[in-house]
Amino acid sequence: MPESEFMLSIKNVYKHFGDNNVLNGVNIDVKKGEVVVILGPSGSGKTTMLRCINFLERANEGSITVGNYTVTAKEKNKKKIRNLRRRTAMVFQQYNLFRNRTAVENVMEGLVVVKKMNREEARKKAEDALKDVGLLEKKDFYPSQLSGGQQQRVGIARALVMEPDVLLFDEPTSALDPELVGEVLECIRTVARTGITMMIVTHEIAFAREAATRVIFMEGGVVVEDGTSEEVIDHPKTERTQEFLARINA
Amino acid sequence: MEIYTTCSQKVLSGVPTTLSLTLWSVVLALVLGILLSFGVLSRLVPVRVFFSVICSFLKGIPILIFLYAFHTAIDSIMGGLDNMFGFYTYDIRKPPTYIFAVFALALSYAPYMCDMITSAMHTIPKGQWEACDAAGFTGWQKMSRIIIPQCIVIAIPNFGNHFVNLLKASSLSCMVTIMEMMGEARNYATMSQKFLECYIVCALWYWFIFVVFEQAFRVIEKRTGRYLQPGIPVLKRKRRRFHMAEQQRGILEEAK
Ligand SMILES: Nc1ncnc2c1ncn2[C@@H]1O[C@H](COP(=O)(O)OP(=O)(O)O)[C@@H](O)[C@H]1O
Ligand SMILES: [Mg+2]
Repeated sequence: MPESEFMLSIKNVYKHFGDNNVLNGVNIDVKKGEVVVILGPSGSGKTTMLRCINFLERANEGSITVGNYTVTAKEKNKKKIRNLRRRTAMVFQQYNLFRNRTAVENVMEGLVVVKKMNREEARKKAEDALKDVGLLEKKDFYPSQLSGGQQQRVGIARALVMEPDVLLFDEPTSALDPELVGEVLECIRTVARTGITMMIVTHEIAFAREAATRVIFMEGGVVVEDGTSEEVIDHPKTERTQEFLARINA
Repeated sequence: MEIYTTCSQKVLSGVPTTLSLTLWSVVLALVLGILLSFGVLSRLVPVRVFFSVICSFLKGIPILIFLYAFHTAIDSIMGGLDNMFGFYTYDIRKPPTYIFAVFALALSYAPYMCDMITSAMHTIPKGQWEACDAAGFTGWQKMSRIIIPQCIVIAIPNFGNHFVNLLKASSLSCMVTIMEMMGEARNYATMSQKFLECYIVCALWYWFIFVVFEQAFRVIEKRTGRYLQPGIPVLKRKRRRFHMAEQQRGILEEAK
């Protein structure tokens, strides 16, 4: 089989909660190394779409491809879903660090459990990852002993260390105090430069403009606009995008 | 005065029985509680309802009735088992009252253990489960490494309460001829005809044991729950205390 040209393909994904149609046929193809920023008003289904990618939420229809591994929405086999999940990693809005693990143990956990790495090796790798996000000296702190910004950076290290094909961020800075947003964005920026494929939901327009190689505007569960940051943010074609940007800049 | 010392000796001779009775009942209650919690947490509504009703039933019955009921049924149950397996060794003059008391106490505490488990489970934030799922953990990896360890920590204060309650409830088993602390105290009270004195002595010993366990659980709670408290990691904190001591020593020497 030829290597697919896309790292991540979301094909025709529909999702409803009861009679609330949240995703109405989302199609996105992401090339390797792209940094995709998803913009859109609250309730437009950004989080749901991200969660459908790693099956935290099961789509009603459609399929997800990561690398060359495709799983359809109807897939019953838990192992297949797990395999897909192991090709992605997620950074959560609420960090969701394991509360009973220290910073370094949080980063190790996936290596030990999922990749079956031995503990010494995993610890070394985890410490390197923590160093990359500038938190090596906090490695023995529990999440409750870290600030929000530090927790989120551990969350990023935890996701990165798994070397996923696609890294998903769901509003990584919106639970943070304003003065802590900068350190996390800086951290994501550094990660973006390494060439890893990323999909970031955020409301930080300035960040999107400089870090994104591609910006997607979503509303009502569909992709409304898709292009470079100049195209979508500076010269939006549709009225809805213009309205949204005007509101967010106001 | 002699009454008190003699009575104390009698009561203390019952301590091992009380402790072992409590320990076995707690272990059995926990096992039964875990089984019940599987039912109560089941995804199938009928199963859930069925086990909730069982829990409610067990909770609604006084412990003494369990003890009496089991005690009354010993001979028929043991005789029945004896016949069924063809041992024919059951001696009706030596009924295993102790084991049946353990079962009675365990059954009456099993629903509380079940509640303890389910409520601990519900306090684990959804994000903890999702973080495991997103990383591709299997169900077992998720439970054994993240969810259950956190549940245990959350359940410890509750467990401590149930433990000391069961310790006190075990005194009821003197009603089915088991000679634990209370049984010994009652026995001696009847012999000496000093009822009040004996009960007071027994009460004080119960209190003493209660305090020991309560403090023990408090220490365990603090130790295990460390990660939920904001603050500095323990290693660092120790070092800092050491630092303080050094400083104080310095000041002391200066004063000299
Ligand atoms: N688990 C859920 N159950 C029911 N409705 C949900 C659930 N998750 C999200 N929704 C609904 O889906 C819609 C889109 O939500 P979301 O994807 O979180 O939007 P966004 O992240 O763009 O703000 C909202 O109307 C929300 O109420
Ligand atoms: Mg959202």
